[in-house]
Amino acid sequence: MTGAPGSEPFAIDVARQGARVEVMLYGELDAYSAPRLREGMSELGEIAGRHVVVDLGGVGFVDSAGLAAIVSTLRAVKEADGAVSLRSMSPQLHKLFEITGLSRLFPAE
Amino acid sequence: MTVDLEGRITYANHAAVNLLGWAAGDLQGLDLHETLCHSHLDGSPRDRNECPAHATLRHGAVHRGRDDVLWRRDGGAVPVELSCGPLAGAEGALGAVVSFRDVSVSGRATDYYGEVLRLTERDRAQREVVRQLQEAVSPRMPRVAGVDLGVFELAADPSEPSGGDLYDWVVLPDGDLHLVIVDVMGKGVAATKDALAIVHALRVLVFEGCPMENLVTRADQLLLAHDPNLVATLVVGRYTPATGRLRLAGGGHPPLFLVGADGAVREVAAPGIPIGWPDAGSFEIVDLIVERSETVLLYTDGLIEARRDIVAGLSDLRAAVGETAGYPARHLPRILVERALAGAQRSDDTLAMVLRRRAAPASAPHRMLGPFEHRFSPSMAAVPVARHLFADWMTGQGVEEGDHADLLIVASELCSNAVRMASGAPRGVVLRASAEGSALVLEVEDDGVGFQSALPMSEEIPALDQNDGRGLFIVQSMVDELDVRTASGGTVVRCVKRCLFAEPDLVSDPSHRARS
Repeated sequence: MTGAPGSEPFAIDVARQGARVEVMLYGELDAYSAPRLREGMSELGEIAGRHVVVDLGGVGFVDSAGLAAIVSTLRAVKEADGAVSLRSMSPQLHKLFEITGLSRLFPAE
Repeated sequence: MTVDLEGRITYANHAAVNLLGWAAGDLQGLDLHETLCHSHLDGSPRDRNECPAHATLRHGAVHRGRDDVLWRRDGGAVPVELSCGPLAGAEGALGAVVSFRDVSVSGRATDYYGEVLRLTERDRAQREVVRQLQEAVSPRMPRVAGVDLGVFELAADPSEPSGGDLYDWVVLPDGDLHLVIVDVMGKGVAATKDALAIVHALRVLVFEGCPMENLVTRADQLLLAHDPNLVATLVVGRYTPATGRLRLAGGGHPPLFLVGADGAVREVAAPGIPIGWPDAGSFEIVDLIVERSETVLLYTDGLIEARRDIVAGLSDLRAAVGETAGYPARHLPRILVERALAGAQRSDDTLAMVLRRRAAPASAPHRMLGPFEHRFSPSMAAVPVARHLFADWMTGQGVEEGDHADLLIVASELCSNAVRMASGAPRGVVLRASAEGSALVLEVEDDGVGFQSALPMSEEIPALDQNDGRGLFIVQSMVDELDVRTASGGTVVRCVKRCLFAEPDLVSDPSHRARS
């Protein structure tokens, strides 16, 4: 996937291991790339009852639009009776989750 | 019904006529008192002057009869609630309006409905009282030069509006900030009452000039005279904004934390004996300097006892305050409480208060680069570009890591917003930045109009079930000032954030780093 000039391109990798689905995100998540995350997640297929691990180790930047895309992803999994966890959050992203109170809903692994 | 100035009925509506057993039009012209109000409920005759309608005709004011009675044509009595008001036209008084409502058995249903309404109203009123009292026990955040403050409290019982943990902060006449954290034994509103008594005693003592050494002892003497069962731990602080000097007097309270901008954590104990114990009082006055960008955390033990292991709780808290040194002071107390209580069964009141001394004003201008300006067309694809150019400029300015990351988010939010609001004309959005003293000023301008003239300036965290709409909240949490100007030509959002800048020498002269 290509990003805007100057930005790190945004990409998603998915690995499935039985009931566990690992979603690796790379690049910058903002209003420009957020639709790609939503698209990518809609192509994830069956998530009911799965444990979805979102790995944010490759994500260098997130703003509120990126946060919104992550949150709606997590919410979709929860609503399908799946479990979610967040992995490898940068301190800056963790801070964003805490400031907005979202860490209460989606604790980091 | 209406009556004329002589008390003769001029009009009676359908409901009135039916209730009183008359036929339509029959009441017209009859004397109200003689026909309907002639006797008391027990049958004894009633004087005209006792009649509310007559009182209204004589004095003009509204008169009510809560337990009044009207007489039916067949001689039966109808208990009513009655209200009479003056009736006036252009030429002056015309008579009176008499309205009433049947409160006999047939009217009970309406009564119950009324009662439910009254109870609902009373409940609402009580809630309002509780809210007002809650505000009264949460003193407003004072404005203190060079300091950012934050506080968060949580009562043990979610149904109780407040608990035994209470704080106070007020600027004294000499400009010092008076700070108190108190933890009263007991829970709920009863404990709040005791905590308030302590806080107020301390305020009075401090205003009267009581030396810090004696504060805890004097408060104990004052309060125990009234309530021998009172037990409370506390810490009292006096902060001098000009110098960063902080003096502390304690009474059996857990140590407070002093956190450097780099996350280094120091525990500071203010030893003493709690109020309500024999020989209550502070052992010594702790006297320290809060350095620039250092954060002081005061708290009650709910923050370290959530997992029922105080030693582990203290070390968890120590780790947490080290990690959150760069968090906005306003939100830090809530975040620390949330961290401490994550996964724990809440059992105690919890209170956290933060005081952060701001970064020093820049001693001399040391700007390597001039102001930043980048103009772009309103497309989301252009926002990452603007952000990256801005990031490079900030690096050149020596903006330190934490501020750098915060400002990047702020710029991204404001630019995305401007792209949404802009007219669509090419190069309609401008991102500007400049370093002014110890602050960085960020401006985003778009050529759209309307919308942003009224920003919701809420400090409340956004509802957790909403998916987006956090942008502005995040911006507000990360900057020190935010304002929006809307003119016919467009909208300008301007933010100011006080920042840490790397030492100019270190940026411009690498050889200096080797020498030092």
